[in-house]
Amino acid sequence: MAVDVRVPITTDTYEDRAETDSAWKDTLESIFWLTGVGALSLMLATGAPIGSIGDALTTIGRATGIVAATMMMVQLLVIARVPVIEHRLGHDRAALLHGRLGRIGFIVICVHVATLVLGYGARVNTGWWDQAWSFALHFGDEMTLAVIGFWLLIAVVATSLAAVRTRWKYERWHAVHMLTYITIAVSIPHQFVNGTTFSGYAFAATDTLARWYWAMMWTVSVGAFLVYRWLRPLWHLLRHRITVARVDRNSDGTISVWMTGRLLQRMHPRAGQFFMWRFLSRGMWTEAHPFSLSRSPRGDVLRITVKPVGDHTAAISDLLPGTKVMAEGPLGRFTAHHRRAHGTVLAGAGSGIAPMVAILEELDSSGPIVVFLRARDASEIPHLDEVRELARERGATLYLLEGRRSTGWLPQGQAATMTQLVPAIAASDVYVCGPEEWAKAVLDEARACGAPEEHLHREEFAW
Amino acid sequence: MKRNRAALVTSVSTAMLGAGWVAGVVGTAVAKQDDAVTTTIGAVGAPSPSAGTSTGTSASPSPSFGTDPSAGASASAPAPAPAPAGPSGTFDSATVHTRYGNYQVALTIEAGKITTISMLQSGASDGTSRQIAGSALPTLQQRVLSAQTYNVQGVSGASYTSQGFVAAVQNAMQAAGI
Repeated sequence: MAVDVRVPITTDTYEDRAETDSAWKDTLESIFWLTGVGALSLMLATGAPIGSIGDALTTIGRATGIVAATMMMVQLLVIARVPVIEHRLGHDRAALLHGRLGRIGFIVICVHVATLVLGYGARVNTGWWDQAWSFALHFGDEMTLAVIGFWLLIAVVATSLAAVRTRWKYERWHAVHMLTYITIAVSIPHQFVNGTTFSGYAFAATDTLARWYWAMMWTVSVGAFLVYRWLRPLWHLLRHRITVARVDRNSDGTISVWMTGRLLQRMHPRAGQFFMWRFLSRGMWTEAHPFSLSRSPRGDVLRITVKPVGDHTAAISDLLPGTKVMAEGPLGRFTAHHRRAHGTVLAGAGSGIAPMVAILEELDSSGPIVVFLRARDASEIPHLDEVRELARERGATLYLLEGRRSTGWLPQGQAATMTQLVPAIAASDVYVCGPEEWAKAVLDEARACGAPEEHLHREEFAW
Repeated sequence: MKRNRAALVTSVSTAMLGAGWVAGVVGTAVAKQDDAVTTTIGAVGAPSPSAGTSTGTSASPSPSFGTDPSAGASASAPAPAPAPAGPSGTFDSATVHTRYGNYQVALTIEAGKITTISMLQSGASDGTSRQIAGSALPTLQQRVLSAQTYNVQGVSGASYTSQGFVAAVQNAMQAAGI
């Protein structure tokens, strides 16, 4: 009797994985959405008169206040680096959602303030100017705080817009951005004291429910933020004791930092992921920067490879062995675990080459692998010897895309479609990490050559 | 998001908002119904036709909306019929509960005519309620004084204050028997 010894085709598993992933993502996004709907429903339950202009404006103001606050909660939650959100929604998608909610949220807050000032003004026959002062001065300390918070928020947004225009350093922008936490904090009391829905005047059963609901929502979002952004990194520092073991200056000008620690596998790091690294040395401990692992994390050893482009990255070359390291992570869904197809295409440029080295190391040779490394010159590619060795072992095809920058995915003066270089493109995952324009060009080319959207993976280094 | 999931989330959202809206409408209806009950049950502040002194002590704020039947019964039972010229004195209403606080008025009545309306309780003490009530109450008082009836037009934008005030005046007028 013949025994079937063929290895089962693994595509089904990939599809299952994709299905689970999309179900999780949809579930999380639905929860965020329904959280806000629930709060609005409780607001309606307290009565939402729209009989006169003043009433209608007030009702809009109350609703927009609740929507804006829910957006703040979701923003806190998605940027808190909660493992399930990092793992299922993905760090880049979460960061994107955070930013988008922030931009919409600011407009919603402005509507909240404007409609309430005009609505109250209409109800008690004061002008909007007097009414605005009345809110600031005569509605109690909580409301005064909230008004101060609103003006602070306007200052932060104005500064951020100016910062984008004049290309501020990220660190300076980030310092200003931190002030939004203060605006959130000072806005919370007025929701419970002046917010009709949550002020706890127990006229109906839903009022008590609303107060508890709102208190719970804030506890969960602020709590998750404090636990995962503050306590967890400290806990990791104590538990894993990551320290710098060695600093290499590579021939291509990059710097490799080797780090060791205890029980590092308990953090479940994967090749392709990154951490927010904070080196606890003089002058560096105030800043955390994202760097991908440039080597598949095995045992208790981690390696990152950094191109010295700024003050901070240049200072990394002077790190002394034994320096303690705080690591937030692992972050990102840019791993071989998220493969959806049989073949794999790895495309890296600049600092995006480092994660490709790690991912290539983690892949087996079961499917066709094609590696594209983009640089002006091959001498500028970090760990090229390592990549050549790994490619040989795994039967991967390695293309070095050397040359001057062009608008396409290939260097100037070169022409080829991705199908020509990767015959199995339609059945391959495409991992891209590099400068934004180039990464976009690669993805466009992959799409044009028939790679489905769910096979495309991009690391944005969003944080 | 997949279409069927999006549809599910949309319908759940609609259901939640609908339930909230219904709860809001029903909640308002309950408040109005309680007003009607007050009208029929009648006096808490018992009429005291004998003299022009206050009877406010009998109108201690009741813990829930409406009137305390036992207090009302004991207070109103011994009360004699009002004098033909119309009652005089000060009459306190029962406490009327609204979403934005409690309302209670004291009517000073001279020969069946309301001369003064003072507020014993005028809504919740937060800034929101204070401002709305502070703006609407003088208007409402003026309307009642000039029309000599509780059945006056409410102030737009102050619907809860209007409801609470009108119900309190109605209650006190019934207590006075006018």
